[in-house]
Amino acid sequence: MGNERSKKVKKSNCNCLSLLPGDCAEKILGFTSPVDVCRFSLVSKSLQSAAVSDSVWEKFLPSDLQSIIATSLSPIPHFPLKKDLYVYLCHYPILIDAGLKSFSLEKWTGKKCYFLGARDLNLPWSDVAQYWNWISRPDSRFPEVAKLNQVWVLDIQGTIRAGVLSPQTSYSAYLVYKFEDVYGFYHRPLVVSVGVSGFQLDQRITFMLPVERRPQQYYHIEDGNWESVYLPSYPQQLLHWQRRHMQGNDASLMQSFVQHPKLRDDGWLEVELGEFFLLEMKMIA
Amino acid sequence: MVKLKSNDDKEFEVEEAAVIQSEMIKNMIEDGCATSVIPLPNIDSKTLIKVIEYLNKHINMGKAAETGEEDDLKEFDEQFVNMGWEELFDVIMAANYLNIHELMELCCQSAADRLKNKSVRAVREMLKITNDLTEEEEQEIINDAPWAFEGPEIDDTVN
Repeated sequence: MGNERSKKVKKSNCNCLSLLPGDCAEKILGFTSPVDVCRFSLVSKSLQSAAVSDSVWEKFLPSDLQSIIATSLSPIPHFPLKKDLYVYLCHYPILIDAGLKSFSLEKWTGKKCYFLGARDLNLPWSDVAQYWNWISRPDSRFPEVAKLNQVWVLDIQGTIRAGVLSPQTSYSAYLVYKFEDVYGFYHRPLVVSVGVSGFQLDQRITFMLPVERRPQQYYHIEDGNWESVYLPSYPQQLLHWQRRHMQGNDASLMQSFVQHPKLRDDGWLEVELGEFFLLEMKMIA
Repeated sequence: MVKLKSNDDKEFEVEEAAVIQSEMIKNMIEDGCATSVIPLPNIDSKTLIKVIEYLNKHINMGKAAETGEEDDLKEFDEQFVNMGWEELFDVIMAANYLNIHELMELCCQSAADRLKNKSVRAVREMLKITNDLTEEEEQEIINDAPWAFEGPEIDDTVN
């Protein structure tokens, strides 16, 4: 009986990752992903110690991280462990590119995330105070944000060099904004799109104003009198818009679909503009 | 030819072109320390046969690219790592000891692919690991990254 038991114990341990030399376990963990490594810490003490090693987290940090950090305006604390630097960069975006952009890591994968500040966007008429104002807000990570007063055509464009993004990665682009006054945003949908090298890849239609913040009715002047008018629902507006703007069976527009804004944890709204996938940037000089 | 001896006293003859994929043996040959049999006290014959099979297949890696045998090599690699955990870990330890970079990468990648997305319970069962963490330690690890323990992609199966 005693003999049988010791045999069993021996067998249950013979197959164990913890018997591998430490650097082998670390090497294996380095081929998984950040979320896997965080989870595997819970398996046993030996895996927990392998899971915090620098050799593992070095593989999850972007290879050009040092040059990104070197240009950062944000003070970054010194972390003895690479894992702690990783976690910090997931939760505290750093300002780069003279404060025009912010940089962070996506915690599940360690992929690079960029956020273009309003100063880094192409906003026609943004230097005319009648149309746009530059203000600072405590709830923004950037020193300045653009406040829209009034425009006749809302046209916002942003570009980023593909080479700074993580290769072999599916990216989504978002517009992040807040409403003070919703006037003008409930009458018609907007077209949003993303593209690579000027080639449009994804086009969607969006109502930037969340449906719950939409007024039921609005007022307009008819023959010198204010009249209250019921607002058509978003689906009705969409149908109307499609009839006006889509030529019969325009295939590219048929593919576009309606994107609804979401409330972020930080209180801002975001709307997804589209997705794109980047292979290795070998072809670009 | 270079002679290798496993820890169960079996001798194997391997072509020098194959065996120098091991950094360790390459250094020994360069230093003139490989004149007779090289004893490998950490590797049993079963594992050594696997390693030699890999080395022989991967002679002149550059040649494979020229002759378009890359697919063949890829298929061999896929078949090669098709083994149980115990055997895989034995090969990893041998590759680590002999310092065979490509073999190490191949086997660690295979181990990682099997573990990806697995639940904690599944990893413990697959690798027969007994949990030696206290409840407090466990809670601390979960609190550190609660997001790593939830989500539909976590796979609780053990194969």
